[in-house]
Amino acid sequence: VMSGNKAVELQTQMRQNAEDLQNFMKELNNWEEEIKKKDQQLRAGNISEPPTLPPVRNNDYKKTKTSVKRQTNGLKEQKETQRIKSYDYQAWDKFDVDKSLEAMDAEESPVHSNESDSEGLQVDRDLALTEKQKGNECFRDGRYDSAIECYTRGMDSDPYSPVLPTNRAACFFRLNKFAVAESDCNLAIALDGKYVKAYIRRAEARTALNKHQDALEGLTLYQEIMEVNEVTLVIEYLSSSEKSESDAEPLQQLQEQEQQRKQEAVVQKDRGNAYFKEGKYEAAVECYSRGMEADGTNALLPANRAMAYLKLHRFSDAEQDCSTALALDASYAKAFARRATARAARGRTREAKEGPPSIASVAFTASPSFLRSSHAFVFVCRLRAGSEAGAGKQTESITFRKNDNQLILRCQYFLPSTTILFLCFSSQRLTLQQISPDAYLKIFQNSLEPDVLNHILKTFHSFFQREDASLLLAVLRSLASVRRFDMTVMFMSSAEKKLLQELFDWIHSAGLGDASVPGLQKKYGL
Amino acid sequence: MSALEKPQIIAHIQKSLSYTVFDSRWIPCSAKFVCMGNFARGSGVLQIYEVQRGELQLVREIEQAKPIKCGTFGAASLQQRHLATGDFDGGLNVWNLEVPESPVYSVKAHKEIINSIDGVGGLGIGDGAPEIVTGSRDGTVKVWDSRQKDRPVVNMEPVEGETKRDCWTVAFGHAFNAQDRCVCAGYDNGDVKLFDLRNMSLRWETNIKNGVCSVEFDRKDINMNKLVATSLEGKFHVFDMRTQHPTQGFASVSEKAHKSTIWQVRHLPQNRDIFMTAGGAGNLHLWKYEYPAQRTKKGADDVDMGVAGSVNLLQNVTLSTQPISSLDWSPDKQGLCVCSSFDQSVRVLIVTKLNTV
Repeated sequence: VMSGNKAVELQTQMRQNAEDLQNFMKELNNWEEEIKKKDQQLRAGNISEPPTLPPVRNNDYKKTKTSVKRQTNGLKEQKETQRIKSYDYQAWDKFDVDKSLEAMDAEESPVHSNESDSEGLQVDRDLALTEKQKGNECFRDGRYDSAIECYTRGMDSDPYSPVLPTNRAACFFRLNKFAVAESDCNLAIALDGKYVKAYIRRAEARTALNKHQDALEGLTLYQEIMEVNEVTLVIEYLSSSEKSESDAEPLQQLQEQEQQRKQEAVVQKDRGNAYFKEGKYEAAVECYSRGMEADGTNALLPANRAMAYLKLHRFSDAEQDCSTALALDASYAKAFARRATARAARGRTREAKEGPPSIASVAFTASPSFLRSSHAFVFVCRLRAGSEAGAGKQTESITFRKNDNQLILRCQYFLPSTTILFLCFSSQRLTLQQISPDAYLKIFQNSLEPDVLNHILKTFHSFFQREDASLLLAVLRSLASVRRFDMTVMFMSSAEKKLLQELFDWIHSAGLGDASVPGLQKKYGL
Repeated sequence: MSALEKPQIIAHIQKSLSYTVFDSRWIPCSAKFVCMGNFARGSGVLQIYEVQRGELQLVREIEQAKPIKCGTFGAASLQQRHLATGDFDGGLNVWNLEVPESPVYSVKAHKEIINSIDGVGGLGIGDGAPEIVTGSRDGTVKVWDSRQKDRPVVNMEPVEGETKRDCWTVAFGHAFNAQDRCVCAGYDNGDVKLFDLRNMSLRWETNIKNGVCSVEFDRKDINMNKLVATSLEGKFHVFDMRTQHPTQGFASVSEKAHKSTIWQVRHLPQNRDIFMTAGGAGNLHLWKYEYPAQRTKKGADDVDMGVAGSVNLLQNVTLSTQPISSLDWSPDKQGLCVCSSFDQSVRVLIVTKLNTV
């Protein structure tokens, strides 16, 4: 009987559901027709006047505050005209006493108007920033006129920022309107007496106008203000005509000439840096070469030229330049690092290990995907110096700090260990010698990005030598234990899988094929 | 409730698409809906379909430069019915679907993908200016007014020094008069923040211990009543927003369902106590919220605090093996809804018996 009831229930349920659905469908068809008619009406029909909308949020908030500041008289007048009539009881009911008291206080108090002032300025700074960015884009595209318009608009919004007139000056400079550029720079300097770029641009503009003496004076003034001694910050332009006009004593002349040459070198260095940033490495090399001719004692120039050579893949030239730089300045860390890169690139990994005995600072560019993947901008890993130094000295912290496009690696280690740690991420390759494989877990923390894994594998593939087999095995093992490894392996393409297969073959041929290796191979999906 | 009285969820029409679809929205006052997504070749696509006697007719296909992640009609007037979309590049565009060559309003809203978008003040619902809010992976939530170019009306971003958390979802609410508005934003670390746009302040925040996939108020244009926040790992919370306690915030009830990420929650436009959740296992759950006998009670320090009610599962159905990423009830026909899932298909569903539930 129970099952009978259930069967009946089930049947009624099904029938009801079917009925429901049928009703719904019938209604749906009717509805479809109705709604289509309505749709047509709306699309074709009269657009009724939209009701007056309230003003844009925060716009009137800003406006009323500024009008309070500027036209207190006007506001008072406005208030008078809006006076509620004494017999309008409804309006009086709605009248908010507290609010009007507050408004009166705001009107009188200067503190509030200061607030409103900064409020107004704050909003304008945002607009100024947008205009600056727009202007920068136009400048990069070479559309100097549009850039000038953007910067002008930005200057209207934020008249206190020295950046905008300086940028506009750069536009004028490119358009050969040097006098205008100079006056813009003057404006920028008036707004901010410590803004380096403005001084430099003004010097450039003045030089272009052949007002060399003024250029020199302007920069000397800057030097005094800033008490800056470093050659890199102050550029002094002097043209050859200036040199010949100088009528100082011979000794002074000699000294001056020295100075001039040094300064010319710095000029060239900066020009070269500008070209480098734009990616025009050959032009950069030329500038650096000219600078080196002018001043053979400046260690920065050969080092920078080495960097440009690295970018152009002229590794032996790069190495030579680095050695030159080091000969001039033995403590120049960047030169060490670049030389290491150059040597590594040439496969001479062992020689690359010579390094400074104490703190080394290696700067390098990392591929954008790697930068984006590391959430933590600073992460520390402990590494062990290699066995060659002997007693396994512990290296101290290795910190990665992100700075624009560079990851600056600082590492300290104790004694003159012959094993230097170098970590060079370049857009081509990733060299990971000497990092203890156990550290990978810490380095990669949350995830192993596919790009990085591929770089590691490619590096090993290109530089593999027989004795590296055990290192390779250890590396592969510890990589497999990093989080999200499985996902990364999933994303490997067939070309990469081939690479991996070759690496494993080499491990086998090196005689390291013990029982765990097949398991490892499986993990890698082979 | 006996099986006889339970609402039925029936897949009325199913269509396979040739692209990944991220969002689908009904065009108000019509039998049409828009699907938004991206082609395999990397360009964005908008397709408009019309429901015709049990079938879907493709009315229009519009290709865009960038893949489109989300869209809303919330800020459009009924005559114009412009669609506001957020794309993978952080660009916000408002389109007139009749003239899709160039957008009515366009701005590079964010530096990274716009994960979620909502609109309020249009469609004849509520007072106040039509506004659009966008939440992005760059951690900021921005409110836009189409009368102001290039700059957001409000920008809610983390303080200098705080880490930016991805914003996964945004929703408007509390827009019961011309000035009041609230924006609720959910982030990937479980933060749910309620911003009051009238006072320009953070009104409330809490953390639900798991990434927040979707938030929605039961109605945008009333004094805040309820807020549902769904998260990863199959949990959702219903907050009673009528009573805010100074320290304990809003009362809530939570429910575990779906056994996987709950991608979306949508309230029935015709009944604010019924909502549907869409899950990562391709299933849909229909829920009804029951209010408690007393919605407020006196707390320890004699201050009012809210009392959360209970949630009942009315019906559930599994439609696909892939997550159902978007869901939208038709504002014109009760029980009609469209959902899209990552198996590159869009389905029109019918839910019966909603008027007797």
